[in-house]
Amino acid sequence: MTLTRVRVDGARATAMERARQRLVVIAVLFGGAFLLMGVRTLDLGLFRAVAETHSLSASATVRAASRADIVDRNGVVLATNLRTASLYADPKRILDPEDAAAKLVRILPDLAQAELLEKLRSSRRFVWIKRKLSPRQMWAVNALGLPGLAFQEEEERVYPQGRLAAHVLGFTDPDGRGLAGVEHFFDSRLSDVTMVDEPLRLSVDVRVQHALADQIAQAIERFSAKAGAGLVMDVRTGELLALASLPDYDPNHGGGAPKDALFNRASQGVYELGSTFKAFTIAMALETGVADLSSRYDASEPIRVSRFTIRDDHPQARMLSLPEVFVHSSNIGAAKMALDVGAQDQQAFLSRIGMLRPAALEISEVGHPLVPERWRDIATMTISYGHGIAVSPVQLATGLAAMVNGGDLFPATLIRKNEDQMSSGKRVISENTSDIMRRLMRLVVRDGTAKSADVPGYQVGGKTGTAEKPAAGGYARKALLSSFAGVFPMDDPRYLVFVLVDEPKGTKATWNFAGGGWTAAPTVAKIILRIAPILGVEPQKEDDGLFQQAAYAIEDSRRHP
Amino acid sequence: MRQLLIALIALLAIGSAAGLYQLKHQVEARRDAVSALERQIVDDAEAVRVLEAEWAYLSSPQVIQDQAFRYLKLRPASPEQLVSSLAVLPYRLEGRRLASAMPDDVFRVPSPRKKPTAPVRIEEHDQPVIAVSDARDYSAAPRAQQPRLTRTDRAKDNAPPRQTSRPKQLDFGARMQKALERIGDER
Repeated sequence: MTLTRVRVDGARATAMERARQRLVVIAVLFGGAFLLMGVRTLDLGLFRAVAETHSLSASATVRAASRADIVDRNGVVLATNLRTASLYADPKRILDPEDAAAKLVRILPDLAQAELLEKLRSSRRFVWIKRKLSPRQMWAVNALGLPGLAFQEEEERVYPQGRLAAHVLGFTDPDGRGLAGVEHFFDSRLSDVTMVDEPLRLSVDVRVQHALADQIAQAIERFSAKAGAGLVMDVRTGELLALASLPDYDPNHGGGAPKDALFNRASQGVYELGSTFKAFTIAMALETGVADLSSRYDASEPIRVSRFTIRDDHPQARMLSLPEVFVHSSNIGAAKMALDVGAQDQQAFLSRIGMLRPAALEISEVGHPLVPERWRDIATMTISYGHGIAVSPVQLATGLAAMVNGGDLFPATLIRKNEDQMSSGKRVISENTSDIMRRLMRLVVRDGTAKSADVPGYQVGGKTGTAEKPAAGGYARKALLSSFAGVFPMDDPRYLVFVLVDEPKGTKATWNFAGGGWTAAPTVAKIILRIAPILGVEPQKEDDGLFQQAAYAIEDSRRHP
Repeated sequence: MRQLLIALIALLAIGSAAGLYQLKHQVEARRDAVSALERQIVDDAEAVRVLEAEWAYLSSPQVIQDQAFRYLKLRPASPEQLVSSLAVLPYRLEGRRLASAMPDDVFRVPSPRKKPTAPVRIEEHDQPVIAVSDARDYSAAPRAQQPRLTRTDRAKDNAPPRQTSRPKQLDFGARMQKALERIGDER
């Protein structure tokens, strides 16, 4: 190849020169741009790659549900969200509506064939056939292979324990909004996207809950009662291990439950609970110092105040000492004791133990107590034995727990407390008064109105309550609210069991008695028998170790005759 | 020289283009794998939830109670059947002598003669922990030779069941009374 050079002179030369300069400028600009791109490529390829991967894996954290689970104190699932499918149809694409309807009804037997056929023949482009199919049904529908049917993925709230703890949990509507119980109270917490992976841990124990509900159901059946309620509380923390109200409902179909079943008798219902209140009267009298264990009260005559007469249900008709007032459940004695204390102090005391305001429980169904507007002497007297004031069982249990646990009031709670959250309660009575109350309550079970509540080994103590239900113009003599609050073991109280039976009828076995000592107390005994081993309370028989001591004695007598 | 350079650059360009193409496909394949894994994770998490719910249902107290009543002869234990500490168990009379012959923290549970005995170690919290003293493997031994904490006699064990009615069980006080009388007789 030969190289030729062309020389140009003059004006042409300068034009040429200018053009070349321009070319150089453009070349430098393009070169710079390409260099920039190259550097940027290198930068992206070598250094940014790591950051890119990170953001990818961050997006990979996926949530499976849109509402947090609810678990019991041991982590057993009480409520969870499951993916489910709802079946809908596009009627235009259905080839043979009769055939399709017949096949679908065979899989989904709760559908009416005529109604379904009408839906499939309609001219709309979208009809729901059934919401929330089970996986088996979904598989069967898919297996039909019919065109025009399709599924919409949805989430369903499932309560695997069924009726168990229904009143604690509550239920949700089909769109997953809480309508009752914990589901309603903690609705925003449960549906909070940031906390959806953390289950809500309740203080309830399913095993205890089942034992409670099972025994109350048996009591209702045995005594042909209308309803029942009960709870188990840890007296050291205020945690509720079980809370039951019967009749109950299945939260999986909560919306369809009758009103009577939805009513929570343990926290929403307020009742005149009767003699159980005498525990408060006695503790109050001891605490304010107007009485001591040797105080005596004349219970030989009923008290007449204006149109009221205060009688004893188990009349002894004699002077009674303070423990006897409690053990024989003397209304007269309690009324006189309360008068000695005075209306003002009584009101202050009951307010301190939370009888005058609704319990601060973490469910929406909490009843307001009914208290007299004007606290006259007659009110003081009737309230001393639990009439003329209506409180919920949860309130009563909270107060009673404070009477036996050494005098500290812990508000009732449905949320499990961790070790580090253990706060000291509010002191309401002295340690000494609490000790006396423990002994008195044990005495009621050993020698008093609640002998049937005794469980050998667990040293049950408690107080019965038999209240007549308010009726038009007074009280209905035959319609009773029988209750028993039992605490065990009485030498170091751990748990309180409360059972309420609404309108029990006496049976042959109870000689037609239907009071708390005959209906609720044996129920509590059976509950304690079932739950004590679960809760790790060891039975301590009164003669424990006696065999061993006897063997020692015998051997010693052998060795040193 | 110049043409060689051009050819080289062209080759390089084609090569890197092919490489880039390959890389892009690999990345896409990886991305697909990742999203498939993500879907798998969601499905598995959902399956776990279903299984947990099913487990909660199948192990719910009501279900277990029904099954237990139907298939088992077990009934709830009564407090009399629960022993919270060894101190509650009665010694046999020679028990104390045996105990004094053993190291401090171990005493022999009295058991019938000619049977191996298992020393019981008393822990601080009174929980019985059975510690077998010699190296014999009791689990392989026939049932009658295994260490036991009961008082059954081997001769009685092997004897054919008698048809006589069992003597009426005396209550604690009466039994103690009898034992004391017997000692009195021996003396």
